[in-house]
Amino acid sequence: MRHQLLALLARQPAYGYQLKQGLEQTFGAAYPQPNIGQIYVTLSRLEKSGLIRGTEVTQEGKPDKKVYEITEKGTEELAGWFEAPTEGPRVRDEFFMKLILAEDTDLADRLTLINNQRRHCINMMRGLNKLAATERGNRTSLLLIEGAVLHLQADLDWLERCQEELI
Amino acid sequence: MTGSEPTPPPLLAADDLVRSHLSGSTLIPAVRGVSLRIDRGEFVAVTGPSGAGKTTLLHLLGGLLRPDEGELRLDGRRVDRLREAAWARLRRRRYGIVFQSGNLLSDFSVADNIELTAVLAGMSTRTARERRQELLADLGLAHKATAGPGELSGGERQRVALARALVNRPELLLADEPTGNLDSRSTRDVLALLSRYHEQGTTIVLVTHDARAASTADRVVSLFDGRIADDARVEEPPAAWRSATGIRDVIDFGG
Amino acid sequence: MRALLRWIRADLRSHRLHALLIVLATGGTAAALLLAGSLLGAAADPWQREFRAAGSPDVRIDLRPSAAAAGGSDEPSAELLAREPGVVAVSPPQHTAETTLVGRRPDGAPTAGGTDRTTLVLRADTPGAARPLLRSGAWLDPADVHGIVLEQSAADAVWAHPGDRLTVLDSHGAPVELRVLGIADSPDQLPSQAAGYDLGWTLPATLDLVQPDPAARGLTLGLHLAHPSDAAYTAQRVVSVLGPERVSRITTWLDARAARQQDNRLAGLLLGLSGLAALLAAALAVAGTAGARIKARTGDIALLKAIGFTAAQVAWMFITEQLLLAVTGVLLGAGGAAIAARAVPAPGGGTDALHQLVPGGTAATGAVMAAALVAIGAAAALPALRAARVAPVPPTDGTRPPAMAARPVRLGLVRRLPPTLVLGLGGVLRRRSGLAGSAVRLTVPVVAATLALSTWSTLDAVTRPDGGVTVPSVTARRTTPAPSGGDAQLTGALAADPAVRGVYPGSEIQALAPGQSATLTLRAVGTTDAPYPFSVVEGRAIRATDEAVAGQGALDLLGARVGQWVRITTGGTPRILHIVGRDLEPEHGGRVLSTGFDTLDRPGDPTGPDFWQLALCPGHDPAEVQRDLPTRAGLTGQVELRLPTGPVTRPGALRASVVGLLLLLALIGLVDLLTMAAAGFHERRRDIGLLRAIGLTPGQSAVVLAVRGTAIALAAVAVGSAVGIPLVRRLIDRQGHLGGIGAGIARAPSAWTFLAMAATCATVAAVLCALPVLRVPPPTRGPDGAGR
Repeated sequence: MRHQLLALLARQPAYGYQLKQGLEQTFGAAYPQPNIGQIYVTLSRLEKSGLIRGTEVTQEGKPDKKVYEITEKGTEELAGWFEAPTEGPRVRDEFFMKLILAEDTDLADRLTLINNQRRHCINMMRGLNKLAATERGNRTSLLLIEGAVLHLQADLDWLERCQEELI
Repeated sequence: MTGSEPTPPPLLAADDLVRSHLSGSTLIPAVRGVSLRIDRGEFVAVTGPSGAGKTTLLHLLGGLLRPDEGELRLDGRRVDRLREAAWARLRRRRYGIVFQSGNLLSDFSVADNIELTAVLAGMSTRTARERRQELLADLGLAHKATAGPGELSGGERQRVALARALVNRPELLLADEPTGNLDSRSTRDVLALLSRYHEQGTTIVLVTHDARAASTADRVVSLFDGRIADDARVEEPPAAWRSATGIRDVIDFGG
Repeated sequence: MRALLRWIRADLRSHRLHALLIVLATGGTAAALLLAGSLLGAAADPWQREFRAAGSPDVRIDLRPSAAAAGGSDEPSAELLAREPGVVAVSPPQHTAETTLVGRRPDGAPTAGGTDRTTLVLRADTPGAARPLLRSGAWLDPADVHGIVLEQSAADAVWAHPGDRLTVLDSHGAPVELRVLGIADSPDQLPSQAAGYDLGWTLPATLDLVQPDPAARGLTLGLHLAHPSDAAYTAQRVVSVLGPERVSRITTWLDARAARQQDNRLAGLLLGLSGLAALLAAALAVAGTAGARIKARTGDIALLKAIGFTAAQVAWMFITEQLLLAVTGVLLGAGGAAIAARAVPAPGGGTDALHQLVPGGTAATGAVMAAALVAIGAAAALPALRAARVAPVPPTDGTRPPAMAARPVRLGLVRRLPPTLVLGLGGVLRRRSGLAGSAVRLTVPVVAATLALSTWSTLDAVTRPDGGVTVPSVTARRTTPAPSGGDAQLTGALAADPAVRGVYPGSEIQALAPGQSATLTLRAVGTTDAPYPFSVVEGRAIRATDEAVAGQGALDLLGARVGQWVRITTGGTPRILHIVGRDLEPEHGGRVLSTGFDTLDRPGDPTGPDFWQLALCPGHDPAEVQRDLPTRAGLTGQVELRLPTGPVTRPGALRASVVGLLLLLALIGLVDLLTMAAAGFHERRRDIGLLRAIGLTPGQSAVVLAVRGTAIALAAVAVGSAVGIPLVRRLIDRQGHLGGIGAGIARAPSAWTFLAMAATCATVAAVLCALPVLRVPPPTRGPDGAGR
């Protein structure tokens, strides 16, 4: 959740509660509902890492609230996150995150994101091809590789869909 | 855009090609200003969703369609306004074209399909026969030389089509989804043949949906809505990937 | 039902060309059939028109002189007949007198030459009586009591022209000279040879001149009937009413027509057959177009079925559509024919109403149109039934290309040809059965065209005076009496002429067949030493006296065959002749026995020849010889030359029919070729796209397609000619046999004609096949439609 919060804060500074609302609004019902406690925990971690800065604001007759804003270090971190190709088991989810959040920040452009991800997938595919060539005799390996290939293909197709819908 | 070297001139240079199709009474734009440079010996894959204009672009590059606007140059010489007959002669000698389907003359056997193309290109009957035998052997289809197209499986047909397209050793091979509807084994064979010819110097433009096919190319051009969305060299995956963790990262598809 | 009509309308709109073709083919055929019938009926034989124009009676009765009729017209008889049922009117009776014609003196000749002694009946021109149609000269002059208007066939028989003078013997045997004022034709009159006498019209005063005794004059009456078809029955009643002893002769319009139409059946049957063949061809062409179109739309049909139309509904859709087109075509064709018949009064039925369009009336016209409709509608409907059986699964694109199940073609030697031809021929060799169908469809009009062309060439041969079927000849007659030295000087001068191959003395006598029931002509020409070159087609030529060759008509009349002996009577004298051969005899309906002049050695036979038959050297035009020979041989004024007559009276109109038929067949052939070209293009569409990609220029692609068309066209012409020529020969010979000329007159069109037909068909086919490729801008590759 770190990068989602960073991205929201990159838009504008906000209270913790506002961040929760922001997440809900951006991702809608399809996305698992964020827990306010989890948000505050992530926020304090981020603060400790120096990626965000929290400022106390006093309120009349109400407990003090903290308003958070992103630091320069945080902005750098966010930019780096956007730029890095998304890998790992939850590629789709994370990439999708980036795609959605990129809209409001000036840090990334959707088309570039998609292109980059696609290039990455293709390069991965090349790697898989080479792997398959070396594993020629091993049927189990080949089967695994084929499975990966199919998934990569599915990801690429999905990228095209994203492109169609969002660009 | 990558790949344009100062010298020598690119084999194929397209500038702002525009082409629309008439459907009933509406004009549907298919290619809207595509500029592309393909060097000799390059292997370019063209991807994109359906309706993006890939096939139209391929047909424009092969002279099967005339662009509404824009220029096309083959080896520096302008060819987009050539007459049909001149294009035909050009295609005979320098191009090999593989379509998605319907690649073979239904009345003739496999051998005749390949040889007739060769004879048309100017080879003698004997040379044509030799080339045909060589190609069919390469493809493992020598035993099907006298079969008719109706007696072949889909994969066999596409391989024969490739043989037909390659019999005159073209400089430029244009292939439209040659692996569509093929099983993985046939796909592998077709891609292997393409790679082999690429290594021998043939310039290839491959329109494909298939990422595996695209990844065998040097360069991937993504079309979207009639325009080029991305044009990038295919690279090796990062070194870290080759490590055990890297592989597992990719291959573990638990999510 | 509404859905059906909407579908039909949409379908027609999207396939205008095809609809137009069907309408044209149907309409053209219907029009042609109707017009041909009318043309043949009226134009080939204008007799019908003339009959009406002359107001000729349906029944003509010749009465013997009756003592009871002492002067004035025979009122009782006329009144009696007028009361007969079915008789509308009786023409005013005309008196007749019989004389004997003995001599004829051409205008300007000093003395008369002798003629055969024939009976010349003079008929008084009574006011109100039907007047014959004047062919040359002028009608009777009330001031000239010696004037006579001769009937056409009589004039031909005695070689008379207006201005000639005829010498007749009156009742006392004294010679009377009559001047021929004109020559006329009476449609109800039998030709003189069939009638047994010559006929001429004179003033009533002339009758007094030759037959002063009124009681010895005969009478002729004409009856106009309400229903002309009852003529034969009425004739019988007349004889029983008036008594057979009074009636010397009775003829009906049927006899007159039969006597004249004999000669036209030759062409009539042929053209009728060609018309039927044209109908068949049109039906096949329409079937072909419909079939091809349906084959091209199997995808649509499958979709219709998938949507929910039953097989029966699909079939009905197509059948209804084709019937609509066929009905439109037939109506248009009939309308066009009616307009054409009206606009062209001379050869057509004149200003007759529509129901006269086809001899036989409204019923026949309706039958013809119905037949055309049924034939063409059925032909178009058959493919519709096939359409109904199309599977409801629309063809998927991409996976399995259609029609690829069969083995590929084995090229063999064909491979050595340039690649373009190989590509073209490969397609031809592969789909042989489909092409055979197209070729067969095209063969029918070719056969019909062969029939029509053969009719033309046979007509040509038969009507050519320079003798297509017989040796070119002219007949020469003396105009001055023979000098004491004999004819040697005359014959010598004639023989010396370069155009003349031989001079043969000749004479013609009327002979009676056994039973005295019919007459034929005995023609004695040439001698045993120098026989005349008759065109003998069966048996052998004459070698001895009392041998003869017979025309088919004579054989039929005598009931004899070649090789038999026959007995005929000439001038009361019996004669026995051995028929050794059959020759082609265009004159007199073939009822001629030809023998040598030296056969005439009986008492009563002419001692010297009446004429000389000059056989001409090949290449000489008899008409030209007729003009120039007298001057050339220095025999001006001494001889008269005449051309032989042919059997067909109005070849011009028949030729027009042949041309019209050929045009129709060309139209049908064009429809066939268009269908074939369209089907071929559609079949090869996929391949053409591929060939283009391989590197075939549009010209080469056109050649590939054209090869197919050319192959079909040439095959059709070859097969059609091979089938047509023997067929035609049999038909024409059979008709010649029936018509009396005799079998053996068939003339096939020349080889050049066939080459021309083959070349035209092949060229048109090639062009039609090549055109779509050249004209249509190159299509985007992929009927699969992927990724346009």
